[in-house]
Amino acid sequence: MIGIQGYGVYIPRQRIKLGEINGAWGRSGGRGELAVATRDEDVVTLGLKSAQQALAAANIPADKLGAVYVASVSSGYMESTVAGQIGYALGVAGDVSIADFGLSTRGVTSALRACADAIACGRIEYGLVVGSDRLIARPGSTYELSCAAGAAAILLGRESTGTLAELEESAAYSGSCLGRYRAEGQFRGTTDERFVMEHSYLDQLAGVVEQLSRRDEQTSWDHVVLHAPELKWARRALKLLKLKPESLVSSLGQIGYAGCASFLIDLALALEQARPDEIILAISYGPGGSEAFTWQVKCAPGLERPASAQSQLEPGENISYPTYLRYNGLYAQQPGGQT
Amino acid sequence: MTPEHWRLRRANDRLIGFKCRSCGWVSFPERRKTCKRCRAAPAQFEEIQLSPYGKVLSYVIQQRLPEEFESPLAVAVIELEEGARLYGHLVETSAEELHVGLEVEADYRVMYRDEGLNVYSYKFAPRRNVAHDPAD
Repeated sequence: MIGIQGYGVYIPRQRIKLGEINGAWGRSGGRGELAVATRDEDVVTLGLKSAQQALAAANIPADKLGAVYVASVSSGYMESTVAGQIGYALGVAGDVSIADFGLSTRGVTSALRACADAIACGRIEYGLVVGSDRLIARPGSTYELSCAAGAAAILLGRESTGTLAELEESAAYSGSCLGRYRAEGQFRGTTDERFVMEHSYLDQLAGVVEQLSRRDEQTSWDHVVLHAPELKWARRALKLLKLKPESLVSSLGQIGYAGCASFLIDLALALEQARPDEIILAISYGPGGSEAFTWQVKCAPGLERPASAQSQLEPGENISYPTYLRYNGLYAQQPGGQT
Repeated sequence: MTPEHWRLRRANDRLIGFKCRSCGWVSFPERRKTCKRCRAAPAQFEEIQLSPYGKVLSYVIQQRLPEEFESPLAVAVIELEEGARLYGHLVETSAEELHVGLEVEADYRVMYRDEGLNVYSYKFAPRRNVAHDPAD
């Protein structure tokens, strides 16, 4: 069986309060905070820190990795490799399999699937899956109230005594509505989010859970991790899927939405909250569909470990809206120019 | 022409230093032709993996810098555990906590952008046992 041998989470310490963003645009209210990366952080630096923690937690040297797979929808490159850069900095061996999974937040589970398959067929012993995103929205848009930054890494390997959770079942589903899209250079939020969420997101989530239930005949899970850009969509999805609202594990309220990273951060949170033998259901979504995995918890890491996911959700250093714009490279626009 | 960031890649991305086989002095990030301490020339250096931990020997705080830099910016002479001394940017360090002898750890960051390519290296942050100590 394939298992999670270790994980690492890195959430930037800087936070902007939603009230601060609303205040800058003459709006009132707004509860919650977003994690914000500084000017000298990007998906490589965020991802590397989570990857180093995952290896340290599992006590596995980087040269034992057979694969480094990175999922991100915000690397900023049309051609380059985040996985290659992270792998090199980790100190991986030359024969490692390197791949970037982008263009869809579903990529994080495509990466998990590819890694699990490579271990299952005996090609590699250990593989690292990293989700790292720094999402930047158009200033003033509603997306600005959810886009955040963060990274998490999961180390997969064959089940052994130190395994945190074992991969039980998986399913995939692709419906007719492809979902959101964004052309090169465009901000997030090009598509009509409500249309996408109602006609693609909810449909694909229902589809993939139906596929999963056919395989393992289960309809209820102890902890549920699911992709959602906002809490209201997570709640609607839970209702649609007839899942208990209290089973949801989500960092959205504390740090916002960080694309591929959010899925793995929430999976790490679920591992920390779970007890042995409990089942975690984790569902991804992105353009092109959904994938669902169930994990049976073997040896819960608890909250005592250094740099736990839970500890990093704590409020950090608050920054002002001008600082937020500067960090995100949004301060130097041409006068009167398009932002 | 080979870009400088390519030549320094092992040092910058993996914290690889160069230890003089004659006297043990550690050079970082350059692999030198001569040893600065024992003056062996040409010196024989062996590659060593440096630890990410060190301490501040001296520092200055830059107050006014071009807009590519965050200011105020603390720049320090840092000595790593193996004895390598280097100039490093300090990140996530408040003026109140900065002092000579401050224990720091390497923190991988974007150093600069070269024609659209982010070039990385290690900056330094106060050593924290957990990534986010609420008491900080």
